[in-house]
Amino acid sequence: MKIRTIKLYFKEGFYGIFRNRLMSLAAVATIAACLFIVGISYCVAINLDFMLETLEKTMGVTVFLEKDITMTQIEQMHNRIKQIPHVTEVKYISPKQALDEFQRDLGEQGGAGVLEGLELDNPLSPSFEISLTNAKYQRAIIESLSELQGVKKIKHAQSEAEILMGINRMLRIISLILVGILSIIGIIIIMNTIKITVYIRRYEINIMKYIGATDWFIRWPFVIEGILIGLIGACIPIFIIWASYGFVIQLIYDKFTVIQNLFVFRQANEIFPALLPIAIAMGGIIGMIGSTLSVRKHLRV
Amino acid sequence: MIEFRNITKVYPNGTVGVRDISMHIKKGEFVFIVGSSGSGKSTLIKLLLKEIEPTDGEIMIRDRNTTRVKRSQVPYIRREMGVVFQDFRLLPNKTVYENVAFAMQVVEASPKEIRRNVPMVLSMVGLSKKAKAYPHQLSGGEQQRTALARAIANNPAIVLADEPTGNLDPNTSWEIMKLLNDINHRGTTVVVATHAKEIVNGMKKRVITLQDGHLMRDLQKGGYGDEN
Repeated sequence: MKIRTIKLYFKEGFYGIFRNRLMSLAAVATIAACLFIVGISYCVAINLDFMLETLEKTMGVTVFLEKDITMTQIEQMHNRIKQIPHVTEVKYISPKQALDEFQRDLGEQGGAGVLEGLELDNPLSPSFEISLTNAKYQRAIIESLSELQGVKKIKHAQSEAEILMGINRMLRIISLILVGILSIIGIIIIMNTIKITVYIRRYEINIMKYIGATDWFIRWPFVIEGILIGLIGACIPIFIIWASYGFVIQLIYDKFTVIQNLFVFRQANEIFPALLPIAIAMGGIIGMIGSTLSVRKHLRV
Repeated sequence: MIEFRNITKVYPNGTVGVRDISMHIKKGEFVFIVGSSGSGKSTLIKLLLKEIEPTDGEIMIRDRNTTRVKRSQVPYIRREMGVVFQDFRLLPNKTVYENVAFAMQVVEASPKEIRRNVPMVLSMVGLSKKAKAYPHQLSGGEQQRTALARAIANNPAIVLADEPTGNLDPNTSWEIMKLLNDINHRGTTVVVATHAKEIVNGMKKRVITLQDGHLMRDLQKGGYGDEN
């Protein structure tokens, strides 16, 4: 294949899009819709992942111990907790430390002095703060912890983590199904678009065959037409999402001020350099599959 | 150059196209294939172009058996032959020059070759002045000459013409035949399927007559419906 022939293919492929504008538009719109959903669910998923990550870091498991526990027992427990799989860090907090921290927190909020006099009869329990490698091991670790002697209470963010993970999983399944359906619709519409171009050009194709054009000489422009439609359909939604991402995040912050304290959203420039190639590849592949199938079916040369 | 060995073509619906045809066309020959409609002329042309496959027998083109070749080889067989049809088959949205150049682009000729060959073949058929015209601006004869120019643009060894004068008046028909004769004189083998009696009689070429799919006569310097 020579470069000037490739140029010819692209020229013809490009003309093909304009020969039947309406079908091309329908095909571009379908692929755009498909990749719009891909883009949005990618944005949501990546932010949920990010939130989960933050949650995992900040919310470990806290184990409160009986007050009458001895230092040797604490030492033994410390070692045993350390050996539980997926535990990364175990930190002992004595009642005194806990009280100091509590006082400091209160002091920041203007409640200094409220706890004065408690030093002599500290009501707080000693505790362990445990960090995990991943939130999904929380349940297993809690089970191991509750088997230990001298444990009074276990505090954890099990439910919060589970809700977030559940949302993430559900979102992925729903978007995967939608993307699957829309991809198939996109392929079918591209097949029809190409079929119409083949029909419009049937006379020309017939002549080309008599002149001695090879099958792929005739086919390439159609395949390129499909790929171009896919690429155009991919770029439009990604740039729309990219342009409106910051605005939407700001809107969420404004409407739900609480979120601002809890979570941080990913920056647009952290998401889109990764998303754009994915979208372009998907659009191109949908276009290629559609046009190749169509050409195989309607171009029995 | 072209050899048919016991070629039979029966169409899927049972119609017999040609039956047991054997003939040999030598290099540089000018051959008319004549016969009434349905006699098998078109079937022969289609068999040569590999538009259809023979039911039985073998076809040789330039010492190459083209009967059983891969689909992917068909375009290369077609490149050995320039074809002209009754209905011209020009691309309406391309000029005369572009129509001829297109035939060369399809076989991936270089722009240099295209720039050299296209004016040459256009002057051969006498259309140099019409190079920028579109097919609808041309007369029937001019359109057929464009088709001829396209057929010879790639220097084929064989030119096939299927009823080339079917849509033309007698004078124009003669012009086209003279051109085909010129092409033949340059060494190209020319095969013309026609039922233009006057022309066949006037040209004094080899005439192969078909009737109901059979080869009736094969005469050197014959005429249409020659009985002797």
